[in-house]
Amino acid sequence: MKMIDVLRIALGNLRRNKLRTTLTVAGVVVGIATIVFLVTLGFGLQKLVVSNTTNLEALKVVTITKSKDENKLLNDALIDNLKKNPEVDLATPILSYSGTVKEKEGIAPVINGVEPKNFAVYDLKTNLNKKFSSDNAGEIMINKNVVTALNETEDQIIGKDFTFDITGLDPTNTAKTISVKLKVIDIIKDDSKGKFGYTPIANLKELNHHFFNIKVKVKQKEKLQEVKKEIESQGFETSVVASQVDAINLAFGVINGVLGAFGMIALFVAAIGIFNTMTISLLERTHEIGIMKAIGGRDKDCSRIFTAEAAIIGFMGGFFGVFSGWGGGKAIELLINFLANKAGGSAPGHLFYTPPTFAIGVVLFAFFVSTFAGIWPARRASKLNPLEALRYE
Amino acid sequence: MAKTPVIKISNLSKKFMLGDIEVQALESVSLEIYSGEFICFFGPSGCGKSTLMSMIAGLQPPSTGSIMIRGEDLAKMSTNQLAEHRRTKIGMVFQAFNLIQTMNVLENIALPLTFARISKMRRMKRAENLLEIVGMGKYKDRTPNQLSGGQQQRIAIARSLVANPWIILADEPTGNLDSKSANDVMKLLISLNRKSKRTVILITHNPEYIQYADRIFWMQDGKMIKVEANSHVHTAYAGDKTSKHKKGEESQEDEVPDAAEVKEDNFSVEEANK
Ligand SMILES: Nc1ncnc2c1ncn2[C@@H]1O[C@H](COP(=O)(O)OP(=O)(O)O)[C@@H](O)[C@H]1O
Ligand SMILES: [Mg+2]
Repeated sequence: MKMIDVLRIALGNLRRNKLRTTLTVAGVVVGIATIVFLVTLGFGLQKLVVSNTTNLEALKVVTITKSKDENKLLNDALIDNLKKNPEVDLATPILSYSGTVKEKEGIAPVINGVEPKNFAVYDLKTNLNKKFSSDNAGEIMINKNVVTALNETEDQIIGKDFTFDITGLDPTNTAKTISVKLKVIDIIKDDSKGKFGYTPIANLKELNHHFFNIKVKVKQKEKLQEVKKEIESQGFETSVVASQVDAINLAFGVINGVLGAFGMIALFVAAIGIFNTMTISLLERTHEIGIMKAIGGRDKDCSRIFTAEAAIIGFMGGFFGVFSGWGGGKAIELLINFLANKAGGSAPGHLFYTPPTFAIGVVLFAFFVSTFAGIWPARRASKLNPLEALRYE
Repeated sequence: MAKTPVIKISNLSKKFMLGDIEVQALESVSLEIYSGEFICFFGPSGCGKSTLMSMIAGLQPPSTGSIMIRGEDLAKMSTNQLAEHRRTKIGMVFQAFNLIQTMNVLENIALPLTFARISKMRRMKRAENLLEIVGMGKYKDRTPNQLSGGQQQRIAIARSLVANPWIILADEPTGNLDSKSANDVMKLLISLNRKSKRTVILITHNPEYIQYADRIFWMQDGKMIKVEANSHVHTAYAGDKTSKHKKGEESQEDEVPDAAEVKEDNFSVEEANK
């Protein structure tokens, strides 16, 4: 028998038993919708946590913290070398020294020298979103704690000059203090207890001994591990935000697994429902199977009709299940965001996330589970003795 | 004229176990049936007629002995080959009609062709054609339970013919019918034999029908006790005797077309499969 005819007959049988078919499909829908609802909630929360922890750009950055080897330094030569790697988008150094402010006692902020053109890599939020006007501008951005320590307000301090005495090591490894006059152009928003500021690295060039660390940004997130390994193989220690993200992902992997398992129980119950439906259907149609065999139907033709019916139930259940699970998630999401807005809080945004491959995978899963549940009744159908089946009424 | 045996049965026996009791349904039956013959299996209930017929159809294997269909041994066939045997060489008609209630009349008739992977268009055309032949053209969208017994049996006959088989096996096809419908069905079977030269095997215990057979196989207690040839059959016509005493009786049945209208249309599953 042709596949299309198997499907035609199977669909006809399902249509004739509308109520039973609907109930069986509903069982699968509940199972699949539960899985989809729970797991996409897991995915959504995971995404929310990951994106709150780091921005996506940060996932492309590996920080070289120090060398394991005395002779290898974090210096310009290394940066030039890193930039030769085609996977590397940029490599930028930072120098960190502590400084004092002239005529202000007891303030010792950390002064970070950075490349203005690559400042974005640090992903700092500032009040005015200012940029350094040039590579060697005598400018500084400081955090709130420094503003308070200077007895200033965040508005008034903008545009004022301060002279910083910064102590570090010079290229000959001797301690040296330099004095630089820097204009405050912006305030860094942060929650840290420390005091710090960022200024173009050119202002610290006399202290330019070796870098505190180097941030390397790769072009594609996927290449991060490769570049990281490459740098480590050259004798440097590195750190990446990605490893924290990995830990978060792992934790959510476990949570999603548990949520999925709950849904799986629901689907298992649905599979029993399919099995039950197909078995009842087999008993009802014993006579029909006898007829089919007597007029030349092969065993395979009989079993295929049953398998097709189970598969169709699974496919429909999977399809509508994914749809309902997704819709349920969307509804809850809208409700929560609506309530949060009404209460004046900040809306959490997307709580559910349904990757398309997950949705397709779940439909296929439902399809295979129910096809599997139909195997035994289908086999029974194919093995029926046609003469006994003909007697059966 | 030289006739080839289309069915050759040698020493066929069939035993059933009913718990501890052994039932000998058939005992050493040997027979040869030739192409184009109209055969009657005649005998009391329980003598083994249906068992013999189901074995010719390959629906159950013999305990001992062999069945050859045009020289092919059924015992050597796989289950799939037996299914093909039933699909292409045998057309079965049952006392209980055995139509599939969930399919309409056309789908029922076309079902053997569906198994044979014939395209929907071709098989529906063929089924409609046969529906006309059995005089049921008007009823193609009905389901079996919307038809009378006689009408259902005519559909079953159309179904048995759809794959253009060599052999029609009819197991008490008139057993559930009123005499007018029974007569119509008999007319159809006889015309299939006379006009389309099909081999027909009819099981009956109505002695009225045995006059239409070329040969009658008398059975008793699982044995073939007598084979009787009918000399006058070719002059007998189905309509003559059986319908005479029905004249004037009100009937809701449709007129069955005259036997002459049932003509061979050279349909072949093998060809259609290509
Ligand atoms: N499947 C079976 N199991 C046990 N006994 C059977 C079976 N089929 C037929 N018989 C027995 O075999 C004998 C012949 O039956 P059957 O061929 O149906 O007779 P008929 O068709 O001539 O009335 C009967 O005694 C019947 O009870
Ligand atoms: Mg019988």
